[in-house]
Amino acid sequence: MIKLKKISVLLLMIIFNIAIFTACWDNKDLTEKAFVTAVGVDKTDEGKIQLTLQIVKPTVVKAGEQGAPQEEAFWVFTTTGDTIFEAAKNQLTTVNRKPFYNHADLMVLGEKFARSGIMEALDFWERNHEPRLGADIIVAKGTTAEEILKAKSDLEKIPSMHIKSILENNKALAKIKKITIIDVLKQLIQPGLSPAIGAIEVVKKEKVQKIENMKIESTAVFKMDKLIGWLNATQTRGLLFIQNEVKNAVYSIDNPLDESKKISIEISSSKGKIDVKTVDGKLVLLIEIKAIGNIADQQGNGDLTKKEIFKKLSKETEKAMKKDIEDVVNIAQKKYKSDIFGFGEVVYKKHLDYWKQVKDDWSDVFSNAPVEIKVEVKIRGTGIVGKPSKVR
Amino acid sequence: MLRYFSRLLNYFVLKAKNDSVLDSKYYLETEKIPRSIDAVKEKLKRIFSDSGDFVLREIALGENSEVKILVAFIDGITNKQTVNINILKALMVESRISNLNRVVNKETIVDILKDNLLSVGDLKIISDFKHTVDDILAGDTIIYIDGQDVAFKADTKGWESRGVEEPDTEAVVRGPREGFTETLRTNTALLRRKIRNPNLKFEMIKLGEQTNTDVCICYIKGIANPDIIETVKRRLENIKIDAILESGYIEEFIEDEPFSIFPTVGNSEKPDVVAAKLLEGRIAILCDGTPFALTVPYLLIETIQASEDYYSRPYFASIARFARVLAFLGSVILPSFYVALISFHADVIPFKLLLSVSASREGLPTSAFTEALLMVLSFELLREAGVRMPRPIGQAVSIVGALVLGEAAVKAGLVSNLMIMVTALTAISSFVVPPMGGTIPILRVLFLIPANILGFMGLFLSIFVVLIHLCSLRSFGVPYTSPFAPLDGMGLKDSIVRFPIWSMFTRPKAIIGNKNRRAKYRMKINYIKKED
Repeated sequence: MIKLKKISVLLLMIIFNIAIFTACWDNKDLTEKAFVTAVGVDKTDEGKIQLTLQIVKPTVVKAGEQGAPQEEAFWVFTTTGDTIFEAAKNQLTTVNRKPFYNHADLMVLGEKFARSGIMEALDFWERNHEPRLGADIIVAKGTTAEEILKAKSDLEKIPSMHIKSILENNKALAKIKKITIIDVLKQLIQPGLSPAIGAIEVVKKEKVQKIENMKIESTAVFKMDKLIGWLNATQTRGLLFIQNEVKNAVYSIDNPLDESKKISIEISSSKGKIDVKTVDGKLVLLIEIKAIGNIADQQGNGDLTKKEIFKKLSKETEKAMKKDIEDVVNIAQKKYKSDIFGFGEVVYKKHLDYWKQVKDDWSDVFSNAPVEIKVEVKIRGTGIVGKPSKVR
Repeated sequence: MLRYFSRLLNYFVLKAKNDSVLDSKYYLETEKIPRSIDAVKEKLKRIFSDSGDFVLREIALGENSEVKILVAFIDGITNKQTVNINILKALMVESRISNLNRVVNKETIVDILKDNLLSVGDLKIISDFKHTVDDILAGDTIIYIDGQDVAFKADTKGWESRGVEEPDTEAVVRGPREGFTETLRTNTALLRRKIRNPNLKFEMIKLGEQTNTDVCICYIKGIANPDIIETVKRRLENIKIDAILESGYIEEFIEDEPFSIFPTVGNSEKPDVVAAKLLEGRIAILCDGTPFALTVPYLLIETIQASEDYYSRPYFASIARFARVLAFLGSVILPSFYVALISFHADVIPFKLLLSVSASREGLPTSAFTEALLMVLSFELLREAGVRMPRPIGQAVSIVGALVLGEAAVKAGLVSNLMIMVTALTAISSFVVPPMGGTIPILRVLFLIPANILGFMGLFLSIFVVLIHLCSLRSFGVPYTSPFAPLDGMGLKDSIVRFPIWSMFTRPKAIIGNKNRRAKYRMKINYIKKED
């Protein structure tokens, strides 16, 4: 009988626990969830937060596969609130389903919001259990996040997928800065490091906006968590080289055999490294890039398969790359005074005593430090042909 | 929990102990055969009263017919030819032709019958009356003699029986196609033909107070573990029940853990399978009246072993075993995994898959759990119908089943496409591991409930519960999960990967112990060089 009592008490405890501690794992059917694919954060003129959600309609996506889609497969919705969480909760006054952030893979920040500091949005993202820290983040240059998220796409049913795939293209072209929220967070807590986030801008104005009218090639420069300026495409490329994020890049240089013609060099792999050293108690920043390239195409039909020409080609490429890098270092040092490369982190790791002295006015120290840039390019191949085919 | 139930049962057992099952037995104590033939006749007539198939012939031998003989048998379970020619004709006709009648008297009758008249292969002298009755019931013919306290038992068993056919339950592509029959003697013969070794022992025992069923314990002396043999004998002897109609009756009595949903006693219909198990030190229990032989100890690993694994090449056999393990896990876990995924963990589904799952579930009135339960149960319904249905109607069932489970359910908006797929996969998989056929559906439903309450956590919790139970199980003292736990390196060669037969040097250690070598290292193959 005692055994029976024990067992029943145990059973009761288990049932009780299941009943009260299951709140977090609430059993929600898929049909009760609204899948958010992208989140946009803006600041209104009154200083409130405006949250834009791009919500997918799965049935339309599926139905569209059989024939032409009857309606848009997504739905964009905007709410405002004093804080992001409040704005997010205000959604429920209109949306019949519970927004589901687990698959929100893109966060767009309006320029105005970015200038006032992005930490608020990141905190919401970090604190909540649903959103993914691996989501990509971009800044809407010269516009609002709402406009970007409202844009349609002819190529994808879900526009945020389109933007995501453009960001994936960074592997093929070193002009796109792709960064995830967790990386931005890491950079923000790193000593002396400021994030640089890819920016999307509208190229052509249209009444019903389309993703096809936008492009991602510039980069937003932050100082701490506030947007302070932009890098253009070539500067972005320089930044990516320094941050060792280049997989493929293209440089067009003069043909050494014929000055009026051009040759494309495809960088196929690159290793970028930053370092610091102290000369006479003064900080010197070091940048070292080692790259390997191929001849991708050639105007004119000279024979390039000679050692001297290869040397010339690599010199030319080095020069072009160096120009990009100097450009971006220059603008970061002089114009924005923001250490987007992470020299501060290197100093912190290697020369802690020195870091303690300069950490309060690091941006001044950084912007006044001389920079040494070493670029080394090796031209390896000429594609799958040696000499070009001659046209008679 | 199980222990609690078994205690509850024990209470009823104690209560029932006073009511003996022996109440209605034909109660015969061991006693001598009466010398007077009339007393014998009287007794037999009383015992076999109202039995139309009981035959009693009284024959008189001797010059003046002074020696009376009583021939008793049951018509239908005796071989008519033997009874008529070798016994009746010998006694009635040949005794007179050969002039033996002259020397027959009360003193010589026993020797003359034994040496000159009864030309039956298996002839025994019995002095116990109870035994003679038992033997008559078993199909033997008993010859009682007037004035003697002994009787002759002639083996005349013979009845209509099914031939040795290929069993339906264990079909093979390669391997012997013979299967056991309902006759015990045929079955022992089939085994004896596989293992021609005097060490193959068949110990007979009678079980069932009413049915007196012959049960045979088979083992190979010298290989089988004597402790386990002793255990089996003891457990069989302790069976007190009025009827043993199938080996399943015995199985339930001798199981180590009678409440476990996992089988701890194996069965097979094929002599080659049973022979292989005997050679691995297991013990087989053959039961008269059924083609299913029991084998003990039965381990978890045997559920994924098929006889064909050893007849086909090791590579393919290993793939087949992988498939069986996968099928077992899949058919148990898949529905609950699906429910947990849909209801709790939408975040781990890839986005594009999520979209299609969500689109297919759009507008459904049922939750994933109800949907899964509905489909799992309706499949069980169909399966049961398929088995019980008379063959000609079988096709109709499959058509209706395909329609109900397939198109119609989706079109009616009751279940989603994906659930149909999950059910179909589950159903197919459950047929891959036949020994687990009774366990899988229970586990499947058992896992669904925690998966619906706690998601993956609940699912894994229940998996752990089952694992713990498996590890605690014993079959005749042998750990159920051997050779994995406790680990037996050599035994692993015959587990999920089937090693070449020449490399399995030892028999299962958990069953036999350490002295268990069965094969030598494979010799190098030498080619004979032709010299010119």
